[in-house]
Amino acid sequence: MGMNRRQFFHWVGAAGAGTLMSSTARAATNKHFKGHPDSIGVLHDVTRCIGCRKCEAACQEVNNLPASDKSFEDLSVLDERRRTNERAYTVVNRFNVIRDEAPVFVKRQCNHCLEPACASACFVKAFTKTSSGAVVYDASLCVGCRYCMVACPFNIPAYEYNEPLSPRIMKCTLCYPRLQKGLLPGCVTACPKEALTFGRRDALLKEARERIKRFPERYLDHIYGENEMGGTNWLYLSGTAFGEIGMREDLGITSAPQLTAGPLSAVPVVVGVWPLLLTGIYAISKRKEKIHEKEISAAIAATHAAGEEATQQKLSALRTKLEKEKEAAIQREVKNALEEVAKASEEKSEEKGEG
Amino acid sequence: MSQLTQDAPKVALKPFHIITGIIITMGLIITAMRFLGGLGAVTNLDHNNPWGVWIGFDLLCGVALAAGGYVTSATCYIFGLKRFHSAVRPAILTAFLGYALVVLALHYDVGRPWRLPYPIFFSQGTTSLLFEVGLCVFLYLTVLFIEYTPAALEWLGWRRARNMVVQLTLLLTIFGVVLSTLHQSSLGALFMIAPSKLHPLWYSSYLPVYFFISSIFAGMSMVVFEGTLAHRHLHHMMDETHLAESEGVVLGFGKAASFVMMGYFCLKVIGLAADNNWHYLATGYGVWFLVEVLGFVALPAVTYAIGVRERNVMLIRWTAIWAVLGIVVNRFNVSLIAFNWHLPADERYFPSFYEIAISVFIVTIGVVVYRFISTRMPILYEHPDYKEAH
Amino acid sequence: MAKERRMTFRLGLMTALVLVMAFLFYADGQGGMKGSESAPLVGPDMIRITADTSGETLEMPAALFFHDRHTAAMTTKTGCAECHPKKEDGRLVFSFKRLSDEDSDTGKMDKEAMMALYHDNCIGCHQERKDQGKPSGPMAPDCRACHANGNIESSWVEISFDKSLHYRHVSSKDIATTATEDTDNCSACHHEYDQQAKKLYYEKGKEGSCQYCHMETATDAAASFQRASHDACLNCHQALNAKKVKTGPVTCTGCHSREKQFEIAILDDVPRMKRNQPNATILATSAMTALKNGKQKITDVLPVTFNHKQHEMGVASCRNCHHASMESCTTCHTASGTEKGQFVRLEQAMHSRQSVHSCMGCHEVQKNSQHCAGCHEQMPAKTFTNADCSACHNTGLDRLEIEKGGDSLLMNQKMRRTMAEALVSQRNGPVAAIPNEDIPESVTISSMVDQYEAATFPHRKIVDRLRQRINDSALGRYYHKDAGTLCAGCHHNSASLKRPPKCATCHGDPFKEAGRPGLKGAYHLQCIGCHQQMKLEKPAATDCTACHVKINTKANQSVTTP
Repeated sequence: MGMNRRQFFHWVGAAGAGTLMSSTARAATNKHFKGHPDSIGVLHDVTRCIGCRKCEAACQEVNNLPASDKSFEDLSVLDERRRTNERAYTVVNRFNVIRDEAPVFVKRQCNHCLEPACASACFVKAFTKTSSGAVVYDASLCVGCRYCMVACPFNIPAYEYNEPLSPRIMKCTLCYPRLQKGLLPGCVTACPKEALTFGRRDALLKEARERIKRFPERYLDHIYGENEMGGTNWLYLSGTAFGEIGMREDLGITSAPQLTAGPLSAVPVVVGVWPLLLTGIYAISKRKEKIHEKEISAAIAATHAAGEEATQQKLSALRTKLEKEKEAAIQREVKNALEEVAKASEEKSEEKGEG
Repeated sequence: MSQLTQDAPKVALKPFHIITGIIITMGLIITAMRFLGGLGAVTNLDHNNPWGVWIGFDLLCGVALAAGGYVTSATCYIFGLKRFHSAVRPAILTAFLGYALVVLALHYDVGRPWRLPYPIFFSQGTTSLLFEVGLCVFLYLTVLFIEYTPAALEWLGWRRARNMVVQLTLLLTIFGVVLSTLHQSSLGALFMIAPSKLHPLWYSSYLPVYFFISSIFAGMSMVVFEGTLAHRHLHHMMDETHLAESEGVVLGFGKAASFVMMGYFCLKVIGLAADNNWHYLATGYGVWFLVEVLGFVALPAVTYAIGVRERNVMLIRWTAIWAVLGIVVNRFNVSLIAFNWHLPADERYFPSFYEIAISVFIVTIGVVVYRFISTRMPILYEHPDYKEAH
Repeated sequence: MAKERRMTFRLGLMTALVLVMAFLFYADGQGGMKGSESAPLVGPDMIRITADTSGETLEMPAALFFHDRHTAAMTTKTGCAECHPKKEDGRLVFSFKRLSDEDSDTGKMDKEAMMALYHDNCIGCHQERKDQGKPSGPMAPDCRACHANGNIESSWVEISFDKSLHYRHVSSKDIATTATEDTDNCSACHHEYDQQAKKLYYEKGKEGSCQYCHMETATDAAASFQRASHDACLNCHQALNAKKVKTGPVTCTGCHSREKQFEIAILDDVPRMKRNQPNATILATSAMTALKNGKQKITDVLPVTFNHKQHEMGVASCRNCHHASMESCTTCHTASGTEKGQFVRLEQAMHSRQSVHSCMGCHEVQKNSQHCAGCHEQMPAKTFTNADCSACHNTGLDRLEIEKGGDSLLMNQKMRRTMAEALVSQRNGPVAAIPNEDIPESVTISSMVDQYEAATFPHRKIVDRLRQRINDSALGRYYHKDAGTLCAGCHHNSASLKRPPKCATCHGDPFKEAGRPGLKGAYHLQCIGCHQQMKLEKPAATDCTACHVKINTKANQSVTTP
């Protein structure tokens, strides 16, 4: 972990390149991102923290954050559970885990995920995961949608709610500007007990494992941040269950980009398949319509033809019938006439006979 | 027809004017507060609860309920069910207004609204589902606008331009369905990034599917619901065809919605089984989940079916309101109620009066604009000059 | 008419809406994460009454019963017998309203019968008292008043029947003994059990801890420890109470509350127990085995001289080491293990760091005490590769080797003990000290002056205090024999040097080398770490000015200064 100015510049160079590179979405592949190889981080050894709030004070100073209402030497603020806010990138909380036993102090700040949820969620790329490890924010792009706050599993980003025109997301930068100048992060510098160990992430992991091995009774065999949410550049060691000191143990080891990789990968499918499918449906319905129309006209024609014939038949039947009737009528008339004639001749003969 | 338009509403809807007047004045005052004092001045949002009703209602419900646009136009133009034709224009108009209002609401919610075009024109965060939503909403809003223009052009009497746009109908419809599929589902997928914050009963890898499918019946129910309102208040604007077809539209969408809702219900159950979340049903959240999927999905689905079977238009109309309410419940659950469920009660979010007032204000604007347009342009009737033209 | 109906419909819809909204916001608070604060504490007298569940879930959670409240409410002459029946010999049975938990048929009390017994008697009595106008307890329909979902914790603590308390019972004139030859009241409590005759009897010299036989749960031969101890202690205390003789507690709180336990007088000078135990002995199992096998010279590990008497003083009870019986370790733990000793080998029995009964396990525990932890907490865990065997295995064999032609002295228990006594007698005496002139009186840390002025700390005073603590403890004296051992607490890696290097020699800028703190970290880790472990209230870890004087110039307060 030997560190000197040269290495700092090395980081700075890498970090500069990191800013230029855009973070890309990683859909489901067999590639497993293990973080930028030389990225730095901080190991927070919770068992060493005494809750002096020196880190908070330093953070406020180096980041030029607005002064808080209470002095940093006032430890009564530890009575309540706090989170990071727009005026504090980092806070220390106290946990009385076991009754009558010494309390446990935990520092909280951005964990600088290897694959940050905030960066993956940001729709204007206002967050960048630099290859130095720091996740930095660019207010000049931010629209203020706060999706990063929704996405962050650690509830870290804060928002300037009372800023009407230029609200920013506020969060720890791992003192990226200081790193570029070859300085350590403010909190790390200020910590009197070296509860914050600064170094390359892989070296910190080694160091953490070594501490667990050397002090098996002091530590739990778990390095928080090694795998949580795909891994973070900020690592934690503790003697008490992380769940009892305000750190969630149910986050899983899936990184944020992986969580949304599925829906994102569905986009090209929808764009590619939907129009084809819909045009197909349209064509089918159109064709159906046409067939339908044809059938209707055919039916009409058929009906028409059938009707004609029937009429003709009816007509001819009627005609024959009429003719027959006519004939009958004539015959009847003839008959009547003949009868009348016969009758008349009879009467004539009778008259003759009388007369 | 135009004579009717001039006189009737003014006399009949005086209270409407007063109420909208009050709401709009209030809205304007709160708007001033919002843009002078920041979100903190009017909302109850905090660092743990960055999204409130402006996202939960105005965005999520707004987009879901504006799904009537793509559903109706797809039914009519792609599936070729011409008897829905008279429902297309009002649906497109409401969808267009719906999306416009969603964008308006976003101007309140985001910190720097003038940067809303950034993700599209300036810095594309392609890894973000919100980017997908933003891009699709932007494109779809454009599509809806074009789809709506024939009504305006007919009103203006620009026959040639109108005919050119009408030529594009099929293309626009397909485009609209693709875009809607993408962003409706992405709105659900937005929450997939936060499995640790959303209650397991609502968190699912099916979230995008749920959102998309529920948007279909949301759209149908909304068309029926709007039809009901229009019948009550804008009856005089409707022509013979519209009136004659309206019952068929109600029955048709009732039937379709019933099927889709039943399918949606089954998917919900499958999702429950896939994640093996049954044990959560015994908790308070479980009861609430059951209220949602049984009370606001399964039951309205059945009621729709009964309504269709008995040709009871009234029942279907009431069920439509019920289903719309169900969508609101679902979107609220995902974005507000089951979100951050692990936080202690005193750290949970509850909307402020101002937030609700702005939401009401925006809905009111929508109603007013809809009235303005539908009482002037050929929305609920076909323009006599273009009767033959489809 | 139709209009009216429509109105009601709308009203109904609105109400439904309002209800839904109300539920929404009610559900808001549901299922929220429980705070990490622990459950509320109640007195030590809380008893959870429930049937033997053995896996099945009962309809109701256990009933929470506060015993001492009920004891206080007993005003009648019958006293305890109101709830606890008496056996023929007049001894109370500390079960509720029954002589035994066992059902004659099943051998286990039936769940239903148990429920009926408690419900009838508890509610019956509450009802009775209510009728009499006396303060009473919950009754029938109010199930949850007793069967509360018990997210509460009892402050009950185990009472240790330590050597002091034991001796007070031994020396009491009021305890009636059964055996005539017994002058030390042993037979009042200690007994053996005759399996055939199913009878208790007393045998002198076989006394052991109650828990050798009375385990956590009852066995065929013995009642559970809980039952046996309450039966023995409470009946005796009760009987003496009746005779108006000053005796021990009879309430839950009397024995099982931390506060009351502090009130129990602790005798300063407790004579050793009389159980024929040695003062000291030589643990030489492997050497003896070698001799038995005819070896003339022992090349194996050296024996350990064990100061039994000293260990008796250091532990609370015999059971600390003699955890299962009063026999010697090797009875069960042989070199290769026996079934009786659960195949724990002698080596493990002596060295296992996981067991508090082993030598090294117990010494590890001792290192966690506030007197030792200041230094020892900061030392990495020892592994067997860096353990120092000769710290204990150091009894020179030259004195024990075989006499010509005869048995080794080692094989003779008496000789072993005599020799061991002679050896341990040389041990007592304070640890070797470095002459004062070699210990700097005060040390000034000035290498990092920045926000604070140089800090001066009273080096020699600290050394003296620490040495005093070591000398106060036999264990401490034994393991800090060398003068430099104490120094190693702070001057790690260089304890053997008379002039250890300055801290700043190795510790400089932080994070230069893995595992090596920077200078500021090293000082604070060691000073604050030690103070915290030794539970020194002052100076508080966060009170910078208790050790440092702040420099009040603005320029120096900045961490940005390089």
